[in-house]
Amino acid sequence: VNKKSLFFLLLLGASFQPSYAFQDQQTKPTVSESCPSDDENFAKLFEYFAVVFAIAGSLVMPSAMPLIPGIVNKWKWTDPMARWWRCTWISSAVFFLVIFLPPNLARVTPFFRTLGLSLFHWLGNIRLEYLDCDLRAVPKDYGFFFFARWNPGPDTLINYWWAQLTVYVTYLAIFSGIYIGVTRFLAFRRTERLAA
Amino acid sequence: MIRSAILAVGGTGQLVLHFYSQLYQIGAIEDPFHAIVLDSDGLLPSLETFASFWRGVATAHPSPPDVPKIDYFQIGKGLTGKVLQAVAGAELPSGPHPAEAFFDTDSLAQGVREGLYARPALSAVIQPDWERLPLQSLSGFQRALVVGSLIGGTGGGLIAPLLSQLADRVKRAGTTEQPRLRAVFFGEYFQIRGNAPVRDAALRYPSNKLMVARCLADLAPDELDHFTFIEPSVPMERDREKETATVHLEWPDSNGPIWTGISALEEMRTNTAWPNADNFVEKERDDIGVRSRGADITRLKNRMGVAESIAKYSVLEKLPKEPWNTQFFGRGLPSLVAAAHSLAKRNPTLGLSGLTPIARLIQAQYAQHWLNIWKIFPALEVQSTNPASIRESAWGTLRSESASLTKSQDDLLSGTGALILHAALRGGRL
Repeated sequence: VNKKSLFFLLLLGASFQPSYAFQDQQTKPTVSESCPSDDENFAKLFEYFAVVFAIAGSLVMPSAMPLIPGIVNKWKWTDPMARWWRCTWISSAVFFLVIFLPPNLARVTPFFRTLGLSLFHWLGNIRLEYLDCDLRAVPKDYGFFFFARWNPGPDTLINYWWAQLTVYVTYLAIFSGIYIGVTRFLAFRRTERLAA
Repeated sequence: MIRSAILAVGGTGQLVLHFYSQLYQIGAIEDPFHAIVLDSDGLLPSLETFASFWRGVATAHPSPPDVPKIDYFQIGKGLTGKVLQAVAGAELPSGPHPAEAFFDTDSLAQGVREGLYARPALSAVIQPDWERLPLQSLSGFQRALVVGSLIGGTGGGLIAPLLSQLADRVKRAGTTEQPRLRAVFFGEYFQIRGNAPVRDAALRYPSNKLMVARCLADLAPDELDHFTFIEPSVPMERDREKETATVHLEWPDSNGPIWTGISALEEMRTNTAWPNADNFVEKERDDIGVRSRGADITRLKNRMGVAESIAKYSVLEKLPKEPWNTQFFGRGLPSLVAAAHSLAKRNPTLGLSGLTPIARLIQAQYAQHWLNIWKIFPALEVQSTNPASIRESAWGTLRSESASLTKSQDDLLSGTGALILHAALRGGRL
C-alpha cells in the first residue's frame, strides 16, 4: 500500500463517522421546504456523475483510445483488457476524489463544509444548507438508479455513502460488461473478415 | 533472384554456413539457397535447427522454393569399426598387411566415425557414394558454390572429387543457362585453443594444403569459374567446444578469416562482372570486399527485436481479442492468423475450432520456434521494438492449397508459427 492509497483510506475512514455527531455540534437539523428538492437534486446529480464516469472509464475511453495519435505505437495500450483496467482505474480515482469524497467530507468535517459541496451547489442547484436537513419524517418518491428510485433509508441521501458507492460500482459493472462483450464481438468479426 | 546451391564441406564449411544462414534469416542476404553439408562428424545443431525450421516455413510459405533448404550428406555412411577394417574389408590377422604401406598407424587405428579428420588421403578409402549426393541436376540454379578448407581431412580429401562431380552436373544442367561453379577455399586459418586433437598439426596441415592445392591446380575442372583462397597472416583461435554446440556463438571478427569467407561466399554468389579466365591461377579472385559487420549486427538487433516483441507481448494471441488490431498491427499479421483459422474452419478433420484458441496455439508454436532460433544467434541485448515495426513489416500469405496444412493440425499450427517468425526476422524479404 503506497502513501497515496493510505491517504485515500484515511479519508474514507473519516467518512465512516456517523453524521449525527457533526450535526449535533452545528445547528439543529431542519426540514425546510427546499430540503426534499435538495436531496432529490443531489441524488440525480450524483447519479449523472456516476453514469458519466462509468461510461467514460469503462467504455468510451478504452474503446476510443487507439484513435489518439501515438497510442498505437505503445505496447501498454495494445491489450483491450489492459486499456479497460487502466482507464477504469483512472476514471474511478477521479470520481472518488472529485465527486464522491468532497460531499462526504463536508458531511463529517467542518473544514470541508462549504468546499465539499461547492461542485454540487454550483452545478445542481443544491443549497449549502442541505447538510442540515433531516428528512426522516418526509416520505420520498425519488432515489438512486433513476426510475428504480432506490431508497437506501429514511435519511438524506448524502448520508448513505455505501449506497453512493453501490450506484457507481453497479454502473461500472454494467458498462464494463458492455465493453467486454462488444470488444470480443467486434474483434472476432473484424479478424475473421480479414481472411476473406 | 540468383538461385544457388551451396556445398559446405567439413567443419569449416559448416561453420561458414552457420553464420551465412543467420545472415539470410535476418534478411541481410537476399536470396534463398539450397545447402548441402558434406561431413562425417554430423550436422551442426544450429544447421539442424535451421533445416527443420525452414521445412516448417516451406509448408506454409506461398512459394516453397523460395525457402532455403539444408541437406546433410554423410561421409562414410554405413562404415563401422576402424579405418584398417575399411581398407582390408575384415579384421586383419596379426603381422604385416599391405594397407600399412599406404597409411600411417594412427590413420589406420582411427575410427571411421571420426571421418577424415586431418587426413585427406583417407578419402581414397572413405569415399562417399556420389550418386546419393542431392541435386542430381543443377537445372534452375545460377550458382554452385563450394566452401571448405584445404587443410582438413574432409575438405582436403573431398573438394577435388566434389568439384568433378559438380562439373558433370553443371554440364548436364542444360545449355540455356548453366550454373556457374565457384569456390571459397580456406588455407591455414586457425589454431586450436587448448590441446590440439591433431598431434602433428604444424606439419600435417601445411602438407595437406600443398597436396590439395596441387591437385586442384592440375585437376580442377574447367567448369570451375572463379575461386578465392583465404589464409590470414595471423591465424584465428578456434574453440571447438563452442563451435560444436553452436549455442549463442558470437559472430566472428570482421577482419577474421571466417567473416572474410562469409563475405567471399556472398560475393561469389552475386558477382556477375568478373571476366572469364582459362587458367586455374587466373581464376583466383583476391578483390573480395568484406561486408560490414556493424551494419549486419544492427540489422540483427532490429529483427531480433521484432521477433522478441511478438513473443514477449503475445501479439498473435491478442489479435482476435483486439477490435483495433489493424490499427495496432497492420493488416498483414492479423490476416495470416485469420487465414489459418479459415483453413481450420474449412477442414473440420483438423480438429481445430475457434479463432481465439487457434491464435493461442499458433502463439505457442511461434514461441517454441523463436526459442530454438534465438539460441543460434549471438547473445545480444535486444530491445523490444514498438508496434509500428510490426505494421511496417511484410507478412506474406498462407499457402492455403498446401496439402499438409489441410491434413495435419501440427503442420498448420507449426507452419503458420514458423512462417510468422520467418517473416518477422526477414523483415519483409520473404
